[in-house]
Amino acid sequence: MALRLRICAPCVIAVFALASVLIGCGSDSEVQDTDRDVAIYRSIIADVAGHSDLEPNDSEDLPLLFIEAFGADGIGLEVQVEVVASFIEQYEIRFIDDREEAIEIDLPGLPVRPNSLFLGLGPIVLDRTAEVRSERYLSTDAISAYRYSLAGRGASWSIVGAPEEIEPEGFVSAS
Amino acid sequence: MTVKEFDRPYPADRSVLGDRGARSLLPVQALHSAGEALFALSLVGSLFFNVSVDAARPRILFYLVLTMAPFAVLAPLIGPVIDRLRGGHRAVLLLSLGLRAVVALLLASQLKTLLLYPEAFVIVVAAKVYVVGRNSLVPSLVGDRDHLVVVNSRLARTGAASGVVAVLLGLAVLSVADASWLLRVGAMFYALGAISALRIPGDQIETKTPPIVESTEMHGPGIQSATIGMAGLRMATGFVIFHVGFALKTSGQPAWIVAGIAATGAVGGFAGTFVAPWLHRRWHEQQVLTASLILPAVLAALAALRFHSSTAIALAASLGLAGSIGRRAFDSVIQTEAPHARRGRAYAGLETRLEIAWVIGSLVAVLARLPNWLGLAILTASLGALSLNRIFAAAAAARVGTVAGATTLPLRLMATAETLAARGDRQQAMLVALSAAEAAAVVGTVAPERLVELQQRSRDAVFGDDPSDAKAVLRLAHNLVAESSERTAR
Repeated sequence: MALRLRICAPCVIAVFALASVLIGCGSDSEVQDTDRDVAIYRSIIADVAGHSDLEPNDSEDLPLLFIEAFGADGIGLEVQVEVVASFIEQYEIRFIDDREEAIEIDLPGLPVRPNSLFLGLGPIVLDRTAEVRSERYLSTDAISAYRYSLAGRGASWSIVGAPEEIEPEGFVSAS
Repeated sequence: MTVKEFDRPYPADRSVLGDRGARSLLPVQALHSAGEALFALSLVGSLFFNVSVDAARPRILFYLVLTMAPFAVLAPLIGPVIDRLRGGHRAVLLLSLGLRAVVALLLASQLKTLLLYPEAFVIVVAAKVYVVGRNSLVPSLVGDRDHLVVVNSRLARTGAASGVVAVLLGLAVLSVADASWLLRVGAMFYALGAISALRIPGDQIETKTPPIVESTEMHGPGIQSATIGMAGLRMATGFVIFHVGFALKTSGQPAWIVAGIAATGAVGGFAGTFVAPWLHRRWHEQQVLTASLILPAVLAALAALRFHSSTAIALAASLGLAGSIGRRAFDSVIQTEAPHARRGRAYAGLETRLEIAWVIGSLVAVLARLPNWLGLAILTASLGALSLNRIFAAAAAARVGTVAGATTLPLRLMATAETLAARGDRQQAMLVALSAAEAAAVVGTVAPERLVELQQRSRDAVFGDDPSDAKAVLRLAHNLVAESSERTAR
């Protein structure tokens, strides 16, 4: 048994050490990509929420902001965590897996839950600028969609011009 | 050496709270449970409800797999530590509580960061180490072996009551502060628990029972069957925590529902400590264990048919209740069937298997990502199959005694002997064959001189190493049994 212990203990320590390294570290480029994505999504969320009737208030229950990621790859966990953290004083951000989380499924027209905003965010298309599709869902009959253009570098990105109104796609498709 | 000589009597020193040694565990258990309840409640305000389950799944999976790793060394490590080191058992509990106090404090400011996952899993692993350590320790602290179930029951009741009180306290804290304060208060409980653990006596009851006796008792069929049943319950608990947690998150249920589910689970556990003795007086322990599998199976079926916060709460309560009832039955089986097992290592293996079962249940829920109804239907089917298997096994065992009857006993023993011989276990085969012949002498007629001859040849063959002697013994026993059966039939 002593031999078994001698074998097992270093293995477990090694697994933990390796896991810590793998989990704790990302390459510099990955960190930069995360910072960029967070900055882009943060700008768009702030713009949409700022133009809505949903105002951050001082009560204990912060307004809910549901976000659905359009696209096959979704939004990475690290980006989600940073976005949640950046609005922690103003909104309760929730990235959802199922639309049932954000809408009142028992009501006609499937409206969004009270005191909340339901936003869909597309993948970031990078060229010289960054373009992102954003859709806002109020009910099945009230969906608005915009294409945002953003310029910047590193962790500093800002919206360029007024967002272009486009046809909704993300919320039209089944969840 | 007689069985009695194995045990050294423990000085009789009991109070209304139980054995002197075990009594010191009560405050530790209460503080552990309070800390755990607040930790569970704090997750309501964690990142878990902010990020998508799909994005978080790989990380949760990763840490669940890591949770398994410590248990790979736990079984061989924790038992010998408890047994050999003076105060080693106390150190295990102290370290587990102390570590959780520190990590809970760290987590309090990181509930909304990615550090949630590693820190939460450190707390989970440390809590499981505590459970394994405590359950391995109790038998060595209890003076009267017949008192084990009572002591475990008191510990369970203390823990459950403390958990319920802590949940109420936590809800009060949440009404004036955020979830991070739950962890700060929880850290205080863990720290107080660590301090209380210092009062656990360093000395424990010594036993002269050879380890082989403990090992044989702990691997008996009754204990194995009870362990499988209990592992099924633990697996179901792990599965439900993650499956229902994900289901509630994705269906947009408010966080207080999740808090309510944690609270009803604790209440169910508390209720179980009162229901268990009542059941214990009416049913056999194995029947109680079967019933404790059926109850959550039924509630899981209801939740599968209509998943709603009310059915989820009922399922959590049933699992808390069943876990509490099942645990008492499990302890009772061990007390009855392993009366000489006292060493920590004898228990660490069993407890570790139960904790691994919990992790496997959790892993299945995270990996499979099943629709609500399907996951709960599979849970129903699994618990149902396990219950049915136990019911059929018990019925088959009862049938052997009633239908087969005493007249066929020699033949059945002889068949067992020949099966053992076919497996290569000649020594055991010869002794069972001898028993078959002696049984034939009891229920039928066997010439005494032939039985004496068989006994003599068996004695020689058991200590010899000649396979042909063993074959001859078996053949002689077979002839005696067959002839006796023929005469009885006529």
